Amino acid sequence: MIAVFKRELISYFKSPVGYVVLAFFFFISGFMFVNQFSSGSINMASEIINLRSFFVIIVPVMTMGLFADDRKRGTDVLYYTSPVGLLNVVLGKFLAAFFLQFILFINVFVHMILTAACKGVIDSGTWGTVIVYFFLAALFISIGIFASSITDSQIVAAIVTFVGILLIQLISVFSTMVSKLFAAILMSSLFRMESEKAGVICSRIESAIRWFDPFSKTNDFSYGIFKVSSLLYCLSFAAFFIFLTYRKLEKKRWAKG
Amino acid sequence: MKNNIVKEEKRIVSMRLFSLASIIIALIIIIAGNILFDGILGDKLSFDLTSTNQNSITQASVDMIDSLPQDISIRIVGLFARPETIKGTYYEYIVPLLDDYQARSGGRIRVEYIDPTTYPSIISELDPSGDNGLSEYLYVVKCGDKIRVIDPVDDCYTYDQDMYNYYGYNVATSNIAESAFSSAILEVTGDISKKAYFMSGLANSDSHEQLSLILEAMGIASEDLFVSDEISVPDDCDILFIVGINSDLTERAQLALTEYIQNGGKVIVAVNYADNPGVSFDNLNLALYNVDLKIEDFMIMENDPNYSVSSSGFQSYVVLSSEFSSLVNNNTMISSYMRPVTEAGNPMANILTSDILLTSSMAGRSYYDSENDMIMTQGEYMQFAVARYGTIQGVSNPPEVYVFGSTDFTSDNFILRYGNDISNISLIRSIIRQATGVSGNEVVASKPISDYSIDYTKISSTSVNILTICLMVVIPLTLVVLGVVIYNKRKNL
Repeated sequence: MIAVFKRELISYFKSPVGYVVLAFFFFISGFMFVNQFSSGSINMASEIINLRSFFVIIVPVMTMGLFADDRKRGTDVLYYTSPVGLLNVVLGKFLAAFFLQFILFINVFVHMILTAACKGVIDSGTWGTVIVYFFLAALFISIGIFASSITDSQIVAAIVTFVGILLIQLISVFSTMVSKLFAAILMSSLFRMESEKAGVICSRIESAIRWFDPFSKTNDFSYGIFKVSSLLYCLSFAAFFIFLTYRKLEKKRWAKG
Repeated sequence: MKNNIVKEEKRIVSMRLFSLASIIIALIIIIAGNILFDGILGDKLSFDLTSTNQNSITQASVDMIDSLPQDISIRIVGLFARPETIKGTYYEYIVPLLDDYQARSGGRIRVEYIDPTTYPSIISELDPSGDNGLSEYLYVVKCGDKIRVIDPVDDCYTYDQDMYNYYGYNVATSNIAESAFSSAILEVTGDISKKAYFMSGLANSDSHEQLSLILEAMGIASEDLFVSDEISVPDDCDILFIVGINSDLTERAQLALTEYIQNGGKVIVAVNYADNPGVSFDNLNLALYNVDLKIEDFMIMENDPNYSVSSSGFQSYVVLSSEFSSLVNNNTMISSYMRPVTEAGNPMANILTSDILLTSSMAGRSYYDSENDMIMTQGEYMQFAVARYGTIQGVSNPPEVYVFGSTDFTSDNFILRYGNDISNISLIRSIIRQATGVSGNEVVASKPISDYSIDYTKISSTSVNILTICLMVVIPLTLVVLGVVIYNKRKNL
């Protein structure tokens, strides 16, 4: 696993991908920090929350080549022939992408140091958003890795990851839309339900859909509330997508056999 | 050979089924596990790590909720869709707090968000009479037929009054959402058995909404008593407030107050000097004469530097007298533009008066000279009482009169500026308890809000430019150049 991790991490910096991602992230975070600095008030939690919106761009670029590139080159056969277990290959690639997130985040740590140097506040909400950032990163990277494993085209992998993350970011919007749609249907002449009853049903539907939204689940961290269940949610679904990737690769082994 | 192919196909089909089943089982385990974990341990493994517990209710509220009957049902309804992004909005410190109310209420409190634009009937359902003027973006606390409306902007925060006065916009300094909601819960669930009246119509300089909230939290309803030609203090009055008045009582009001005091009434009076420098409270003093108290016509100027808060000497510390020191933990309070409260010279032997708050022994007299438009000082240094208490001993229903020569113990302005847990307000709360006999709940302290401002001396156009160039130009551009170089070097490999 460590060998795969090292190889993948180094490969980020042997191609322009790592540098482009770093440059983009540093520019965006720098812009946010300077904006706050010039206004005389720096809330690092806001900066980190805003940076999470860019997962939808950064993660597809980071993960698109992890498996798709090997498949395209035909080097994926090494997964099955090398002494490294398949799960270790998946975990190694996942950790390499995750470590790249740490490298990206160094920039934010520098901003935090600058804030502290200017007698700004780094409170529990800030640390909460830092923790959530990495758990969400783990979840989205696992989705990206899975997307990369199902195709030999990096572009397709990136698009699938982009759409996946975008859909997750829009879950709360969908939940409201679905709830309003149900409310309209239930109160229409077809069902003639009282507005209060319809409201209760629709708010439950909304909550049920929103339960899957990792952003809503982890919102409270930015106010200084730490919820183990929210972190477990991110971690368990990250594990699920890693497992899916493993099964996808494993399939090739017995399908060939 | 054929057998082998069939076997192989069977193996592939079984492997496919196994793979599919393992994925489905894993997904079910993950979803069920998360739901169970959330339901069983979600709240227990949730920690408010803010230094001031902004997002969780304090023990005072927990105790209050625990004291409610088990079968009571309280609805807290936000008249809007549950906000998604609350960071930096008025809901930032309210939404998580209400979640905590619900989580720790043992099913007695239900928090809902219902948008009246989608469900218009919610307004009439919550407030059938329409008396409460419900509208979007308000919170409603309802239990049975009783409701209380809470405005997230006006009722849940204290604001920097200087910023508002000088620049006209609100800067929240502390969060009093818990205080507002706990008071509302008490009001809609509790038996409000006591009643307070506020004498109004005397050019009152300040509203008393915050004091009314404090009274509600103590189980005391409040109402205005307008000064008219037929004024009399109602029989159900347990305590009468004459606060922030800028004109003297009318003769009729003085007679009503005198009668009320003579019948054992409980009265709290608070006036200052700055809002009414030319006013003599002759009629008010006539009524207060019954308990040997008098409000003077000049202002105190503190000369002891250890007591002064402002350089003018008109805002200073005052100290609680030993007789009242058991009422609050902190004996030192802040007060401004004070009139002294003295003995009126009533010769009746059964009147007992005592000092409540005292200045240093280096305080002096000052007054406003309207002809020259300036503050004049006169006389020698001495100690003044800023607040005094008077009663009549040996009667079956003794009156209790507390007179403050400053409004910094009752006014909305002061409470909004300093919060409701400052010792001035703790004192007034203890005095109300003492006068009315209510036990009252512990007040929920206001919680200061983080100020994210940085050291202004570090912000200059040079520092902003340097940061802009470094963070947005030099570093990203270096990385892009590195990427291009690497690409060019390796493109043919």
